[in-house]
Formats: sequence, structure tokens, C-alpha cells
Amino acid sequence: MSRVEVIELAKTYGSVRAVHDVSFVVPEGEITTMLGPSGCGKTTTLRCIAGLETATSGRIVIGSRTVFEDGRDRVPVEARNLGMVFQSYAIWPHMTIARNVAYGLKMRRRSRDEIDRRVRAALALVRLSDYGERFPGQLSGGQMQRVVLARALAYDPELLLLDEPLANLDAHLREEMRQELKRIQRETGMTMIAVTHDQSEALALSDQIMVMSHGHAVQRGRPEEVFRNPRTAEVARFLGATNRLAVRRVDGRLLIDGLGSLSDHPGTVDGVGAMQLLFRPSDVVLRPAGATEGWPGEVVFTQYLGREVQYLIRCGGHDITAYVPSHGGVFAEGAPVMVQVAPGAYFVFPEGA
Amino acid sequence: MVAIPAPADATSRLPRQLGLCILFGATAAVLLVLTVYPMIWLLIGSLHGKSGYGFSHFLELREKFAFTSILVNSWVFAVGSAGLALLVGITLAVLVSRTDVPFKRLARMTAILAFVSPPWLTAMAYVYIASPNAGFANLLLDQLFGVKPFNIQSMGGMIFVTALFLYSFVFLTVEAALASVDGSFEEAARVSGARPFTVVRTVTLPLVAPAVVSAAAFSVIIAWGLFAVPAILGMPARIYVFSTQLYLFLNAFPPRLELAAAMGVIFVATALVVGLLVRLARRQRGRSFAVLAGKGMKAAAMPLGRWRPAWAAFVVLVTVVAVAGPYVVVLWMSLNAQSFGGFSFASLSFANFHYVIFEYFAFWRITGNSLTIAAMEVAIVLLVATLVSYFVRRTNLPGRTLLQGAAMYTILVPSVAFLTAVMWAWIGSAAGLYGGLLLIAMTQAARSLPIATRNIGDGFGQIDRSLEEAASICGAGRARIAATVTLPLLRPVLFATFTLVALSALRDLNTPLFLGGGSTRSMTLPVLIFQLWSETRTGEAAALTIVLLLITLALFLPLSRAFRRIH
Ligand SMILES: Nc1ncnc2c1ncn2[C@@H]1O[C@H](COP(=O)(O)OP(=O)(O)OP(=O)(O)O)[C@@H](O)[C@H]1O
Ligand SMILES: [Mg+2]
Repeated sequence: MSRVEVIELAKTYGSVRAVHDVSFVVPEGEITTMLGPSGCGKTTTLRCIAGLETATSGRIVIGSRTVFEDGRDRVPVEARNLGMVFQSYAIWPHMTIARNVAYGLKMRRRSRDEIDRRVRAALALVRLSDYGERFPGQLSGGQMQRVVLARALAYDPELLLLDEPLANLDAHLREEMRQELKRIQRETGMTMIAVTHDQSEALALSDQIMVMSHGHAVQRGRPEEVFRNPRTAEVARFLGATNRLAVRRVDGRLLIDGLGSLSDHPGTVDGVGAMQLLFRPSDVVLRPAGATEGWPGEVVFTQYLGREVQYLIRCGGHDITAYVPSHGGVFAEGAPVMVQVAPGAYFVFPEGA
Repeated sequence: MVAIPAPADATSRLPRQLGLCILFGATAAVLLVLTVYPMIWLLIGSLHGKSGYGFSHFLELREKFAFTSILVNSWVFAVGSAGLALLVGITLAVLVSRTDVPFKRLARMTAILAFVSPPWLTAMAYVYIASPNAGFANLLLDQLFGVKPFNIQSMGGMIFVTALFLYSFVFLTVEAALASVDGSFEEAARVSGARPFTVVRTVTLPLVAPAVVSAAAFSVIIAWGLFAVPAILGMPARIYVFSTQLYLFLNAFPPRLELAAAMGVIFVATALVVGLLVRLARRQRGRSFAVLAGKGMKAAAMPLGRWRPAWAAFVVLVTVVAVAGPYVVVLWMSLNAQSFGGFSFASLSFANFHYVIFEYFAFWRITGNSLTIAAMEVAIVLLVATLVSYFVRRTNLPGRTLLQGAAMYTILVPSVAFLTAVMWAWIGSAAGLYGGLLLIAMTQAARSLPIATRNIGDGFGQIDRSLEEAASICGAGRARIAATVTLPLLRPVLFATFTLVALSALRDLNTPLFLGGGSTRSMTLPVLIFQLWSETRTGEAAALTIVLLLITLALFLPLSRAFRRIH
């Protein structure tokens, strides 16, 4: 199990800067997730760590070895001792499941006994013990997913890389596999780097999250830390704070056009003058008209989602989206309401950031 | 778990890269010998005269030999054949891939058979059917109406018979292109109210225009290189085209190698220009049609309505005229001891077969030659084409595109011109290859390399890169990945290419005829067939043709069955 260190990594394709100035440390025995919108450079970073792509500059250290430095791969892919879970599975169609899983062990010239033992252990770990003699075409999507995991784990690599490991699964299987993955990580204590663009997956899976944007690492930290204290407006938006209001900060208070003011709270970003206020729809509190606190508004659109209700509220010339638990009843469209944002659940950033 | 160390053999990178470079160099050297070296000699041969280098041979061509008429004949022949082939091939391709015409499988089978069956077989059959004096269709009509309307030994006949073979090439190219075009483009046109024919004209054909353009160009070049048809149908009527005139030069006494070289250069240059134009056209098209890349959804078949029976008849007619008819006729000829005009079943016998197999002194030796050449050719082609494709698709070594160019460019060189080049390159050489089986195999290999390289290259393209990346993540080096992942996945493509190359090797007439030097030492079955035919021993020629077909079948049926068992 190894710690991974990436220092000022950059990768350009011709004139396209896919990744630039990315630095981070993946602590030993933890899951780190790279999170970010499509095209932000997650796959590129992961493939550079794997050695499948040669970075342009920077340094990559896996365990005690510098595998990439000075624009040159010091250690080729096959000698980096990694496991990788491919989004497209990449299970060899001409080999049985057992032979797929045994492949890495054969490359390491293990004895036949050991190969047998480890293949059985790996298949047991992903709960596919009876499937060794099947061919990949005879498996379901979820089973293929687990075969890829077994193949990557069988030879006990230093580091496991996962590119959108759950993207091809339906919602139910995804939930199941996410727990499975976490269980396996806890059992093996393996260092893992995963890529995803699904924030709930990242939050649930990781010990550490790294949010990327435009080829750049924007913020890194524990899931709850990043979720509670996004460092930029972009990170906040990407982690679900999709309501945005223009505000001005005057004397420690936030003035909102047409709505009134809001008390500032410690921990928001410094700055005066034109700012933006961001908050999550689920942090909006709605009360019937007549309540003393909050901004008066009108429900424009109601959508009942079961556990919660989604509202669009017109409020002093602004549109606000809210997700409210449904057990408190449902406001009809056109109903007057009072809108409040849960204290401390909003983020303030300079305008334009 | 105990940690397992990384694979030991993978840590040192340099030696493996070195091995790769050596392999690359070896491949390049082989390609130089196979395809580049002869062409240099062709150029030298055409320019080198008694008084140093100059254009004297070209001038002689123009002055002493009716070169203008040969140029005109060659163009008329090639463009006529290609035109007819395009008409039939495109029509069939559209019918099969876009309409509800019946007998689609028949049409596909016919095209494949026509593509692999020897053009000389069709030519011989049509001489039997429609030669001006003795063809049985003419004799029949003479008895009935007192007219002999057909003359296959004419420019029209040459074009007709060549098109029967060339159409299959057009069909296969265009049908493949149609299959990869997303059907929704055409469905959109139909929904907007276009009639089926209008859809074909305004949407379908423009979408596959690049394939049509290259099919047209290559048809012309193939026609220039074709020898058997102009020889069997044109020479008796004193119609000479490029390939037959070359043959005359080479068989003159003394051989006029330098004139052959000069004429070869002219046609190679023309073909290169044609090829360049196609490339330019395709590139322009390629830019504007970038949206096409998606994987094709099949279009719903367009109903032919009340014309359906007529089109069905057309499909059957093509089968009968291009494949079924000629094969039946050749079979009939082979069983018929009388050479021409016999209609009675009484005269049927196996005498011809008996003669060619048991009485002809060198039958076994010649059969052995054919098989040896085919085996050597297949080995060379598969090895070189796989290596070239590998370098192009899986490495970034400098010069790999050039390597591919060296393997592919011979597709632009008409067959007989290339043979002239090979002759020039090796005839006096100390290597002693000339007149031997190896040189024939090498030359045929050079001719088959373009199509093999393209097939195998496409095969590489279809292997998802992540399958190989997964292997390298697991610790496998280059050679291991190739051996355990890439090649096993490539097996179907390799087998298909093997079949194609072996079939064309067994039926090739041009190469062993031009390079064999006439002795039985390096003669092959097609050459013997051609020789028997030239001696007007048509029954024996037909019998030997049937024997060759049987040998081919005997080789391929078990092979393909074994192959299907593996998969
Ligand atoms: N081979 C390439 N040539 C040129 N540009 C590339 C290449 N590969 C990736 N890019 C560009 O680099 C950027 C980052 O790509 P990358 O695949 O890392 O994105 P990603 O974050 O994984 O996105 P997604 O979530 O959609 O998978 C993109 O803008 C992409 O267009
Ligand atoms: Mg990606």
C-alpha cells in the first residue's frame, strides 16, 4: 500500500491544456476521489498516474518510487504495480473470468498454486466464486464490474485506480457496488484513487475529495469539509449550491436587492461590495404566509417527488429553487409563502468568481 | 495478504524498445525488397538506353508501335468496364442494403464468389458461349434464324466479361460503406416526403460518395492490370491493351524489356495521378462529413412495391451471368471431349480429367508449385501486414506512416506494370531468384499486401485500447500484450485475411505467367490452364480449372470448419 504524490502535473494535447498545475497527496490506505464536471481533466490525471498517458511536466511519486519526472516516464506502466478499473470494463473476451483474474499473477510469475489460491480469494471477495469458468459474454453488467475489481485486486497492487467505476450501472446496482467497494477498501486497506462526476458518489465513497475544474485542482479535503466549506463559487455550485442571488456586503451584513438583508456568518470569504450568495435547495425553509421571519414569495411551480417536494418560488424578483421534506404538507402553485435559508448554510463569494 | 513485487522483467525498458526498433528495421527492409526496389528498377529500365539516360524508349513507343491506339484501347476498356461495374455494383448494393428486394443472401454470395473466382474462368466460359463462329449461342441462333449475333471477342465483350468480375469489388466496397452509414439520415428524408428513388439519389449516394469514388478509381486501375480477359478475348481479335501489349514485348524475340518498362512507367504514373485525385477528393469529403463517424443504425428497408419482381429478376440474372452460368459452362466443357459445339450428353466423359491428372507429365509438380507459392505468400503477407499494422496503430515510432505507405502503394500500380518492374529488378541479379517459386510468392505478396494491411489495420482499430491497457496495468510488456491479448483478439481478422490472400494466390495467373519463364519448374495451375487454352485444348483447360476449384474447396472447407469450432 502506498502513498501517492502528484506535483505540478501538466498535460497538453497540442494546444489543448487538459491538465495543468495539479498537485495533491493521496494518503496511504485511503480512497481519494477526483470530482468535477465533464472535460475537466479527471481521466487525464488518472491516466498520467497509471502511465497510460505521458504527462508533459511535473512529478508523480508512488510509494517510494518516482515514476514520472522531467517529462519522461521513469517507470513504465507495467512496472508500476497498479490495478485499474476501466469504465468500459476491458475484460478480455477471449479468456474465462478466472483467466482474466489470473492474468496479473501470471505476469508476476507466481506458482500455479498461488495463482489458484489468489484467484479464488479475489473472486470470493467480489462474491463471484462460482463464475470462474464462464466467459465475459455470459455475465451481467454488475457482475462484469465486479470481475474488473477482482482482476485489479488479485495481485495486490500498490494502488488501485478507478475511472468512473459505477457509471455504467443502474441506480440500484450502483448503490450496492458503492458499498461493496467501500467494504473491499476497508478489508484490504488499499490506496485508491477514483474518478467520478457524481457528487453523492464522491461524498459517500471517499476519505478525501478533490474537486477539479478546467484542468485544475480547485479544492481538496474531507467530504464533509468540502461540502460545508466550498472554497470557490464553482465548487459550491458543483456540490449542489445552485441557488444564486446577487448581494452587497455592507458593514458585516448582506443586502439583497428587493428582499432585505441577511446576517453574515464567520467562515465566508472576505470581500466588500458586489458579492454572490449561494445556497442549496435543500437548505431552504418554507413557511406559510404570515410567519414573521423570512422573505415573502409565491410558489410558481410545484413538483411532488415522493420523499420531498420541489418548488420554484418567485421572491422579490428572484427565482429560488427549494427541496422541502414532503411530510409537512404541500404548497399549491400560487400559494404565498415565507422563504428562509437555514442559518450558516449559505456561501458568499465575490461576484464573478 | 502478502504483497507481491512488481513483475521483474518489466523494469528495464531500453532493451525492449531496442527489440521493437530492430523489428521495425527488419520490416522496413523486407518492404523495401518487396515493393520499393522493383519500382526503382522500372524507372531505371525505362530511361536507360544505349546512349545513357533519356526518353528514347518513350519516343520509340510512340513512333514504331501504335501506342496511341493502345492508350485509347486501354482507357476505353478500363473506363467501360469500371462504368458497367459501377452501374451494376452500386445498384445491387443499394438494393441489398436499403430495400426489401428478395434474394439478398444470394446477391452477397454471388459477389463474394465473383470476387474470388478467376477472371479467366469467366472469359473461357464466354468464349464457349459467344465466340463469333463457334460459340454455342451463335450456333443455336444460326440454326434457328440464320444469324450469329454475339461476338464476345471484341471490345464490348472484354468490357462485359471484366465488369462481371469488377462489379463484385464495387458491390463489396459500397455495401460496406452503406452498412456503416446511419440509417436515420435516410429515414429523415423519407419522412420529409421523398420517394425511395429520390432518397437514394439525394441522400444515400451522396453519403457514400467517398466509397463510390475510390471504388471507381480502383476499378480502372484493376482493369489496367488485368491480363487474362484481354488475352483470351482481345488478342484473337487483335485488340491490344496495355497488359497484352506488355506481354507481347516480353515475349518478343529478343524481349523488349525496355519498351515494357517505358509503357509500365506511363501507366503507373497515370494510376498514381488517379490515386492522388481520389485521396484529395476523399479528404475534402471527409472534412465535410465528419458527423458520419457514429455507429450505424440500420435503416428500415424501403419497399420496392410493384417493381419488386423485376429487381428480384435482376439479382438472379447477375448471379446467373456472373457466376452460375460460367461455372456450369466450364463444367460442361470439362466433361466434353469435343472441344466446341457438342450438345449431346453421349459425348460426356472424364477423359479431360484423366488427361490432365494422370497423363500430363507434370501435373503433381505443378500442383505442388501452386500450393508452395500460396503457402509462402500467405506467410509473408500475414507477417508483414500484421507488423506494419502494429507499428502504425500501436507505436509512435517515427517513419511508421512511410512503412504503411510502402506496404499500401502497390494498390495503385497496375498488376502487369509491377510484374515488369519485378522482372527488371531480378532478372540479372546474382541473388538467383528469377524463375523461382520464391520470387513469384514475393511478388504476389507485394500485390496482396495493400488489402491485407488495410484489413488487419482495421482489425487493430476495432480492438478497444482499454483491453490492452488493462494488460499493461497488470504488468505485461509489449510482447506479452501482443501475444496474450492483441493477437488472440485479432484471430478472426487474420483468418479472413488468410482466406482472401490464399484464394487470390491460387488463382493468380499474371505473376507466375510473367515471372515463371515458361518451364514447368515454376509453372502453376493457372499458367498451365492458360497454356492449354492457348493450344486450343479447351476441354483440358476446363477440366484443370475444375480441379483447381476442387483443390481450393478441399483446402478451405476443413479450415473454415476448424476455425468455426475454435470460436
Ligand atoms: N487525446 C486527446 N487529444 C486532445 N484533447 C484531449 C485528449 N484527451 C482529452 N482531451 C481533452 O482534455 C480535457 C480533459 O479530458 P478528460 O478526459 O481528462 O476529461 P474528464 O474530466 O475525464 O471528463 P469526463 O467526465 O467527461 O470523462 C478535455 O477538454 C478533453 O477534450
Ligand atoms: Mg473521463
